[in-house]
Amino acid sequence: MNEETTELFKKANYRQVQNNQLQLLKELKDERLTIGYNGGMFNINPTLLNLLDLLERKNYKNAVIDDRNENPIEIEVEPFMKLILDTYVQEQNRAQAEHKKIVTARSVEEILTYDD
Amino acid sequence: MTTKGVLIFAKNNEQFNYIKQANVAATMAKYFLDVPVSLITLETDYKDNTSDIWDKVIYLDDVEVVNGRGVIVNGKREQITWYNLDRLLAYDLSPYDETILIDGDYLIQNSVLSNVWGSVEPMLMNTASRVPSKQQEHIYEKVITDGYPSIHWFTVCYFRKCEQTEQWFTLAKEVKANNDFYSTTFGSPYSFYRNDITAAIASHVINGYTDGWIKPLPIRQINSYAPENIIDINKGSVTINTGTIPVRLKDTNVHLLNKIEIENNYDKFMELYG
Repeated sequence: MNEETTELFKKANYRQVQNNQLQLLKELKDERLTIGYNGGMFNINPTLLNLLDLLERKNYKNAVIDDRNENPIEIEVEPFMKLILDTYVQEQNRAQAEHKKIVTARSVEEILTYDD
Repeated sequence: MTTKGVLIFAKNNEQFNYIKQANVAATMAKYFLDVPVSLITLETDYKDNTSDIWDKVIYLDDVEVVNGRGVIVNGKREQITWYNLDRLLAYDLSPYDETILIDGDYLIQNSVLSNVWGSVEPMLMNTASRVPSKQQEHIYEKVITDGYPSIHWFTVCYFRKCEQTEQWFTLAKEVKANNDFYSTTFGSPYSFYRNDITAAIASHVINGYTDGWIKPLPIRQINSYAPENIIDINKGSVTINTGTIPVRLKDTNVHLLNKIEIENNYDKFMELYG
């Protein structure tokens, strides 16, 4: 194996670690975007945000919506909207910051040790 | 006002100090979830314990020895005595209205599980899993999900005291008491008793012979199997050598089946979270 090929295999190992850490980060973001509210469990995603935005714009104070397990859950529109929007923005920002650290890390060691 | 807390079963054997492992699991649970933790054990095992992490210690009178199991201890396969502390007594023994039951080798590294409190679901448990280095389930778990009730990871379970949960535990005890019959009927490939399989069968039966009665937890089930070992520990993260690649589990809970690693790194865990 010549030097160039050896370098390619090193790069492949680096990419393997990086891809796995990015996948774990994506799954972690999904975990953090899951919240319990009034007994229901909700995945915060654009669909939920749009539904709440619509209810708020149409001046609904309360509504019953299905959680991720299809349980009908009563919510107060305004506080729930604020909670999920704040959580969404915060977690997207946090995930973006971590994503940047993983993709700009120059070595496997750096991928595994940032923020320590 | 409902009471809530974390519950762990632990009983030492010749190879493992399960109470020491449970001390770590409880310390991390308390750090991230900020709720009381209770231990179910035997008085003889607990007498030498020095940790003051436990809010309540519940003693069992006796314990059933189920069978020998091959596990890897410090890189070598050994046959261990496996004490089944009867996880199915959790409903009867839990001091809480709402309980998160965890294994002594389950390390909590974030607060996501707090979202389960007050759930309208009677129980929550994961039926999917992954390993640290891949999104895939371990091959053994893929086998059992092929046409049989989905394996239920009893490693972490939320339940609240109510009629539905009580009925589930009653049925699960029936499945356990007649393990040979139910294992054969539902085609379990395991020759030894496994709580995860009992949970799977009980959930399947109670739901009218259909899967899906117990809904998933908000966290993933990540199983790190032996001989994977810990290479670094920091606040909120554990880095594991998986044999193929190193994996850093940051802000992520992990079920560390190579449990001796928890004992080997006891001081570091306690220094960070104690």
